[in-house]
Formats: sequence, structure tokens, C-alpha cells
Amino acid sequence: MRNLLVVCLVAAVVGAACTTTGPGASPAGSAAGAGGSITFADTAGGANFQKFFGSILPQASKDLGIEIKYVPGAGAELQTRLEAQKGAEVDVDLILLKPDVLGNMLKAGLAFEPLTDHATQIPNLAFIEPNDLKEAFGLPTNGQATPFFRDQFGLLFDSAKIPKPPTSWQEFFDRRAEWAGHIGMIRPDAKSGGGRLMLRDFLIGAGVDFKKPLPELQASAEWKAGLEKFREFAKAMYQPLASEPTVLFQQFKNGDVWISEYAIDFTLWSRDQGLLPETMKAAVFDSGMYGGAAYLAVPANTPAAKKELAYRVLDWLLSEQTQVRMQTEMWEYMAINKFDAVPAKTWETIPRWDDIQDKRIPLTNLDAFNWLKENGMTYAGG
Amino acid sequence: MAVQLLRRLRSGGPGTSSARHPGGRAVTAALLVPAIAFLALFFFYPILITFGTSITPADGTGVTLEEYSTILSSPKDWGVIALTLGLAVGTTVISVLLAVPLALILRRRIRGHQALRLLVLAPLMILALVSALGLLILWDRNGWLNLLFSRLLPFSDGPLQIDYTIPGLLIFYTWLYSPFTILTTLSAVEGIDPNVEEAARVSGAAPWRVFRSVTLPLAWPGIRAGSVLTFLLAFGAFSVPLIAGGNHRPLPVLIYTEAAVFQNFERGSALAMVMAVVALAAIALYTRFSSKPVRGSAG
Repeated sequence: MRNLLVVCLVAAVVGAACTTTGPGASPAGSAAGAGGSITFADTAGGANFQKFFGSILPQASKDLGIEIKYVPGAGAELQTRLEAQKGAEVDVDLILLKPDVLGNMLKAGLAFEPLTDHATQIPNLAFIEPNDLKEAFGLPTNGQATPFFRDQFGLLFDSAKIPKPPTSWQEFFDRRAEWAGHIGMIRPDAKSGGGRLMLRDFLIGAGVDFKKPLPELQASAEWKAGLEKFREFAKAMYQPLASEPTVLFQQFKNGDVWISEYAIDFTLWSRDQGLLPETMKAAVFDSGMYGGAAYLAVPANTPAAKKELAYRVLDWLLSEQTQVRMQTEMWEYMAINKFDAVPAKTWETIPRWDDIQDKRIPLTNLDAFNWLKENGMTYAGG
Repeated sequence: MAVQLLRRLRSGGPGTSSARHPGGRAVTAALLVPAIAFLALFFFYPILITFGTSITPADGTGVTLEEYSTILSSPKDWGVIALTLGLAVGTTVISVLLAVPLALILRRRIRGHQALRLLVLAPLMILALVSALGLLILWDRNGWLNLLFSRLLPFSDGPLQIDYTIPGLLIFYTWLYSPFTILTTLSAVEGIDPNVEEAARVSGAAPWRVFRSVTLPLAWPGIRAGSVLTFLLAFGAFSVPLIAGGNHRPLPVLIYTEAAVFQNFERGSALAMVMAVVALAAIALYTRFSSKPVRGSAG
């Protein structure tokens, strides 16, 4: 009798558990997840994008009937996970990643689905510049990734303190005494790539040719002279260098730092959030500054059913509606060629795409960039 | 009689629960299974993986102790270990120095003691990362706490340099991790029978003697437990030194940089193992030498 009671009790508990966790149990789940679910890993966006995706993905779920599990994280961590899942089905279905992370992943032998083979499922791919689907800043991708947005670095300065900013790296170097102790920089070995990109842009401004392979670059006189020039420049910097962008912004806000190079998009967004002085302005040197992009990709070993869903979400992310929102709210340049759809007043805040297009210096030579990441502090430490 | 019973219990001899119930040991073992499984899965397994990574060369073949050899022969790495230990020990000492007088005051239930107790808990309610950013702002050149202190201190002729300094890190660590020492010390002090201290006073002991020979020995187990927690948390602190440490980057930040930024998992894992060994050694030494801290009857 007692045994029967125990069996009944266990059956009741198991039954209740199945009822509460089964499909259709949650009204929210039934609305958004009726068409299945995917996991979307974001390794490219900062706090701004986490907020942005938090606002747009529920709409995507509603429009497509697909539940989207949004997972922000670091590229290196995701790469480790994907490498561990090589040869098996992965638990990530759609990835947003920066070109250097994409490069590291491809170098590590991770494969992604050729999106161009699925153009019928992703019709908005037609609005992407064909070359952007072939390569990511010199890195052959062969359709394995599509740009999602294009970001731009610039000279950021507090116009209340610097009414006449420099217009080139050489001028910046020559006038460094004017701002001694107030030039900011993020550590080159920080998680954020802002500091190492500033170092790289400085070296390019000093005449270093990043098209050369690293050993040839290291042997060149320009490389050695450029690094020594940067060491001299760093003596005028505010020390210690910021460990992350938030710390750089704080240094701007309390008046320790007046000028630096960093991402225009994140800076304008942060200024809008009250994290930076309202007098902050941005400019792009005529000699050029880093211009990047974030890419969407679907791992090759994502289960087939999930791939179908991932293509639909990817197409939604490339839609005019989403891309215009990203341009006007996030200050990112759209990936699709539909700039006419952007409200004209947007260009009062940021330069037109046509005006900066030729000033963008892409991220190439990952070996040299990684070298700067590991050794940059030797020169930037002040 | 009591001693005999204790011996029997320890030896598992007649009179113990296992002996009274033949299946007792099996039940004990069964009850231990979830805890052992949990430890094996979430503690020992990750440690084994970390250790395995630390002794595997980058090409994935064979075994090497190269990373350990590099760390142990690098003055820079020794400096980082010393910084990490120094910050943890410093924070622990400051926490104990704060906790004991505070506990002695709070147990008197002075006016506003409840608000003070709540204030002690405040750092535990805020995320470390948020605290780090907040403290950075409070103590920067224009931060109101910095401005207040620089006006109060007679030797100061301007804003204090707190952010990105070792004294600053000690202040931030103490704010975040001292509540663990304070709470356990307070609990121990409040558990002392006032009659014991009263008896010492009646016997002619001066207040300092009562504190040293009665109160402190009786409260010591609480102080010790709390200070171990504070030490371990300060030793493993990550968010605060990452944000507010400037060029002072202790082991957790170095490990993060090696693994997450440089993707040098071999070196990151070796540093993590070194960190674990140093923490264990420090705690072992501390517990060994702190078992009888002061002359007294209750240590």
C-alpha cells in the first residue's frame, strides 16, 4: 500500500513537471517560440548594443514567430566553445562578430555556412555590396559572413578645452605639449580594441605600412622609428591608461583627459546617455582612421533546422527597418546600401557615408595587430 | 564520562549511530553522494582541466612545465603575486582592525546601531563592478568624497591621489570585503556571556586586560573565520582592480588578460594554478599560526 502511494506520488510529481515545462506552457513561449528558437551570440556589441538588441529582438521574435535567445559575450570565449564543439552540433546558431575575431576563428579552422548559397532565404543580402560578402577587410570570407553595421573611429575631444583640434597625427604629435597629461588612451592589452587601434593608427600616420608581413614590418626602419615616436608621444598621456572605455569616459568627464581616439558610435551614444561632457566632438583625420564592421555568421555545424531559422532572423536584421534604426539610434553606418532611407537630420550629427568612406582604414595584418596587443604597453606605459 | 563518550563517537565504536543502525554507514555514504558529485563536477573537474591546459604545449602534444618555469623565473610575475598577496593581507588586517572596535561598539546597542549594521551590509548588496565604478567616481579629483577628505586633512593641499593607487585599492577592497569580517566578529562578540567579562572586571582586571584575556580570545574564532573569507575574496578580486587598479594589476586581472585578451590559455591556466596554490598555502599558514592568537583561556 505504501509502495503504491509512493509510485502515485512520483507519477504526480513527474506529470506536473512535464505539464509546466512542456511546449505551450508559457503564453510568452507560445507566442514567440511557436516557430522554434535560436541562440544568437553577440561578441561585437558593447553595452549600447546589448540595450539595442534588448529593444529590437522582441520585435523580431514577434514578427517571425521565432524565439531568439540573446547571449552577449567575448569573442575569445566563444571561439573556445566552438573549438570544443568541432565535429559536433554547436549550441550557437547565429553570431555577431568583429573582423579580428572572425579572422581568429577562420584561422583556427572553424567553418561557417556560405550565406551566398542561401540568397533566396536571405533576400536582403542583395543590398549588401558584393565585395563585402567576399572578404572582410582583406580577409577572404567567401560568403561565410555578411556585414551587419559599419563603425568608424575618430579623434574625440572636449571642444570646451580644445577649440582647435589637430587635423593629422603629425600635428597631434607636434602639439602634444599643449595637452600634456591630458591625452587619453585605452590600454593596448585591454579587452576593448580601442587602445591598440589608436596605436596602429598612430603608426600608420607615422608612415608604417601595415600591408607588410609582421617579420618584414619589424625589420623596417619605419616600424622602429614609429614605435619610438609613439613612446615619446605616450609621455604626454594621462597615466595610468584607461583599462576599459568606461574608465576613459570617466577620465573625460572629470577633466583628466581632453583628447583621444576612439569609436565615434559608442562615444556619441554614451554622450547621449550623459556619460561624457556635452561639449564632446569627433573628427576624422584626413590621413584616415580605423573603420570597421561587425559581421553576422551561421556556424557550419549548426543543426539544419536551426540554420533555417537563423537565416530568417539574419534577413530581418538586414531589413531596411532595422538598419535605419541602427543608423539613427546607434550612430552606426548601415550595412545595406539604402542610405536614402535614412532621415536627413541624421547627417547633422555624423558625417555622411560618402564623406568618410575613403578615410576608413580597415583592420588588416592581424599578426601585427596581435603583436601590438601583447607588446603595446611597453611603448604606451609612459 | 563526556570524554569517554567523545572517544567512542570518534572511534565509531559501540554506542555510535553507525553501530546502533547497521545500515548507518550506507545511509551516510548515500547522503554524501550529491555533495561529492557536485564537488567532482563543478570543482575538481574544472581544476583538472585547468591543470591539464597549463601543462599542455600550445600544439597540444605531450606534457610541459614551461609555463610554470616561465612564471617562477619572472620577476614581473613574482611582483604580481606579491601585489596580490599584499593587497589581500592588507585588506584583511584593516578589516580586522575595523571589525573589532566596531563590534564592541555595536553590541552596546547604541543609538543608531541598527542603521550602522545596515550600512555594514551595503557593500554586499551592490555588484562589485558597480561598486568599483562608483568608488572610482567618488574618489576622483572632483569626487565629493575626495574633496571632503582633502579639506579635512590638514596636510593635504589639493585633491588626494586615490584612484589607480595601492592605497586606493586597499580602501576599495576594504569597503567591499570587510563586511565579512565585521559580521562574523559581531556575531562572535555578541555571543560572549557578559558575565564572563564582568567576572574578570570584578576580579580586578583592567579594561585592556579584560579585552586582551577574555573578550578577544572568546571572539577569536569569529574574527578568524571572517578574516579568512575577507582574505580569499580580496585575493580573488577582479572587477575592482580591473577598473580602478590602473597599472596595479593583480593575478586575477593578469589571468583574465592572458586568457580572454591574448588567448594564451596555457599561461592563463598556469597562473590560475599558481594562484590557487598561493591562496591555499596562505590560508594553511594563517590557520596554523592563528589557532592561539592571544594568551587566554578560551582560544
